[in-house]
Amino acid sequence: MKAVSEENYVLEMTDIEKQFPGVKALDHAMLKLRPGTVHALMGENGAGKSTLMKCLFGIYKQDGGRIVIDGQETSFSGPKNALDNGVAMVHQELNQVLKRSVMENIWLGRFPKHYGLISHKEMYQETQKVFEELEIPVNPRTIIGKLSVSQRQMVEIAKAVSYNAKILVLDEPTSSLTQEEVEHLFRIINKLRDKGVAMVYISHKMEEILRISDDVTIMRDGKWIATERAEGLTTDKIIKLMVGRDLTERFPPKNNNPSEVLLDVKNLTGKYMPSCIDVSFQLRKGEILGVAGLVGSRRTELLETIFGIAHHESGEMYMHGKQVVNKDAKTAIKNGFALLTEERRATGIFGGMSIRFNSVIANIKNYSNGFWLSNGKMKDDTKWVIDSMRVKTPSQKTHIRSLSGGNQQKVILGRWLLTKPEVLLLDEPTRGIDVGAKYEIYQLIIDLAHEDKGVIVVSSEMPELLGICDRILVMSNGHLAGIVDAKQTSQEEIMRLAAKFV
Amino acid sequence: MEKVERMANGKSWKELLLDYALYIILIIMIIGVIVADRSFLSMNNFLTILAQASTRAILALGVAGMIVLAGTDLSAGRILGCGAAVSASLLQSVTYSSRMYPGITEPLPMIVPLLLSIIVCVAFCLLNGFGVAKLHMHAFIISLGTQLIAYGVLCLYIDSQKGGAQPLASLDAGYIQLVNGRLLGIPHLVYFMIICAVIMWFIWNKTTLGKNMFAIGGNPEAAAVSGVNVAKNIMLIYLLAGVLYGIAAFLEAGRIQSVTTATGTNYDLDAISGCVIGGVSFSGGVGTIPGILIGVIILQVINYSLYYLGVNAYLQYVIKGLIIILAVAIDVRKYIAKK
Amino acid sequence: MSESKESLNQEELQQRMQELEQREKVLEEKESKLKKAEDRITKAKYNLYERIDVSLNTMNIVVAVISLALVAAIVIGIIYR
Repeated sequence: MKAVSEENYVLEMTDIEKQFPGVKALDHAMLKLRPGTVHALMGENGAGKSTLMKCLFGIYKQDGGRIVIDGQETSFSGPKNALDNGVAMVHQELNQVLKRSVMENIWLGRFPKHYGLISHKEMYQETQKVFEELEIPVNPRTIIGKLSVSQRQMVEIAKAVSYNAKILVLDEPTSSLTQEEVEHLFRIINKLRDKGVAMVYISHKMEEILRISDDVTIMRDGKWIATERAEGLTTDKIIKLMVGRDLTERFPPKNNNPSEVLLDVKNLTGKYMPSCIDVSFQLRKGEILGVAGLVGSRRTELLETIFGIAHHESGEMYMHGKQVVNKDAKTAIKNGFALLTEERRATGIFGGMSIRFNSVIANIKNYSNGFWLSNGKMKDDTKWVIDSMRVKTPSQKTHIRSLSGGNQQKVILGRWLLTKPEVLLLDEPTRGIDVGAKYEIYQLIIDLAHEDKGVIVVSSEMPELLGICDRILVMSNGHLAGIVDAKQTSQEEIMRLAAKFV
Repeated sequence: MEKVERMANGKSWKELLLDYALYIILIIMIIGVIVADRSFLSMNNFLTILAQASTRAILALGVAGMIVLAGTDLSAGRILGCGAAVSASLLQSVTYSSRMYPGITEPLPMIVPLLLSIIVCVAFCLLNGFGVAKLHMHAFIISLGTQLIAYGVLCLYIDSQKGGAQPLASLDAGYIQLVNGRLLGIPHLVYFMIICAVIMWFIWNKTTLGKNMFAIGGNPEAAAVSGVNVAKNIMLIYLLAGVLYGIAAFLEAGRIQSVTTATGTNYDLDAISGCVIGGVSFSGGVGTIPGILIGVIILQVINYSLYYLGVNAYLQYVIKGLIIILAVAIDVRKYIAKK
Repeated sequence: MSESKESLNQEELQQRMQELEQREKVLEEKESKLKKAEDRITKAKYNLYERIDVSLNTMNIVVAVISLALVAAIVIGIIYR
């Protein structure tokens, strides 16, 4: 362990253990926070970063280890305890009561009162004060549900800052922010740093981390791996520490050749807002078209509208020159479309069923003999899925839930391929999958394009889009902001486009 | 782009028609009644309707809290029955030979039965509240159970009279006057309703408890991480409901002047319908006090109109059932439309 | 990039893939169990409406049908009294 110099820490978490039924979430985790610094906490999904902070904040009670704040051993009984004692947190999932006003959300749990009754006037004034100091142009009386996601995230940050805590935890604070707002946030963080506030910054965006933090702690599998000064680090070093080994290449070589236009989408507008608005583009055979955009830019809605499970208000689609109308999933499948959803656990896998079931279910009509289903055909098709998708499983009858996420995703991809689609719509296909295993999914996508299918990939990871796509469509707040050539564009250009209509 | 604007700002007439379907039907019905018989539109009729609505409105003010918390209460009616039985049994005329407590020879100060009614109702409500707040049971389920328990208790109580089960009637004159009298031409019940509504308005809008209730109903996680004691606040809302049930029960006993095991049957459905018509959504975190009053009054006007028109009593059940289903369907539709 | 791929032994690649799979599976399990445990702790109540999976079109039809049924019931009630 590289020694961070001996000095006073405002927060020391040592040997933290947390066990959930069946999984050890934290295993001798450690974090030492110096006052007036920004300490980044990094790691892959499941590394334990959020869990560690939730132990600090009192949402969880740790099974072992010590938490020492300003020299005093502490253990918060709950969020209220933590807030009262100078620890505030910006949560990853914006915990906001959408039907209430901005100011009510900010002062929830500590409403200003006059003689026992709530003073709306004071609430408004206090909120205005905080917003002015942080330069946030939001009306405190607006219903928070009406704000854009990025505005809501700024409000969440303002709320945490308004507690004037000496320790502030920010969990993925920039997931929905535009580049400009990220700069704004960094200005706020710098101001707080000057004031002596100590901050823990959880993020997986390495460029941001390297810019804003003083120290970086990396976790893996609930364990502390390393803590280093930010100045000595580079992106590659961080990846190496996070993953534990060298990644010589992240993306497979592309061997697909885009040819003639396969799908022509004209002026597609979703019926129930918020959705996509007036989107037009063309997808060619053998092309991988990426869809980039911020959270809330309606990329998923675009895919759902193309596939027909979200109704469209206006616009047409043409496949091979002929008009197609996907009025529901069944028609879409018949027309040669396939949709891999964002949340495979919720809307993809049939968790309690076998791999065979999960593979054949979308194609089930083709196995019908009039009276019953042909077992032989189903077995053959499942074998095809397992072989061509290279699924690691002991048998066809294994429950899909016992497979790893990467393998589950492959089964679902295989399921769709059995319906012989021409256009594949993939929504975040590598989410929640180990860095190494993503490679396999990329290979499968490129193989599909090589076989002259058209693939549309929505992803929030720009390196991924730049690595496997031919062109990238950028969505901004439901509008099409631009289409760029993957080989000639840059992350900055995409970010700029993503902010165009926000 | 204009198409998008129309969608964002106003809704198509079809949407509006569906959103307000219930109100439209009800208003047409009321107009129909007035046209059929102009005498329907008299101040006396109106005041009578208001008086009838009063106890149900107070009950609704209690149930509304649970609905805002994204739950419901199907036991409200039976609980009211218990409270009413307690009130009536302690306020029977001292000259009535078959009264339940022959030992009472002087009329009790009315505050006593009122408090006892409140205590009984609060006890049942806290039972519901405990199930919801601490055991994380759904309000729907636990209130189904409590409903039966309350009914059982009510029957046992009425059965325990010396002469066997008989209606608790022949109530004290002073009690009857307190509940049914008029002040400045307006029934006392209406005053009681308004006082309760005003107090509840304060609680809902001007106290921490009220704000917490909306927060918990809207997003319990947000409330929890902001330091709100979710369990405690839920229990308090249930306790508050219990107080309201107790008051409503006390007044209802005096209004109908005869409490039996059937007292309170389906009152909760009326209260819930009134709330939903008045804009309290089952999705939680939404509702206003004036809305509840209006909803309950509209429902009472419907009840009265149907009775006035001589509609078959059984068909009235069908109609009221359809009304509550329609109100909830419109609410669900609004929720889905917003998603 | 493509040159280094050829230089890797086929066997090594297989082995690496296997290791990756193992780790991936463990991570996945953890994440899902964590989420379940988290849900149990932080979700105090269950919103009845969250389970409803009906489309807006269906709801429109439902509301329209019930409205008509209601009107029918009222009309019948008035006519046959």
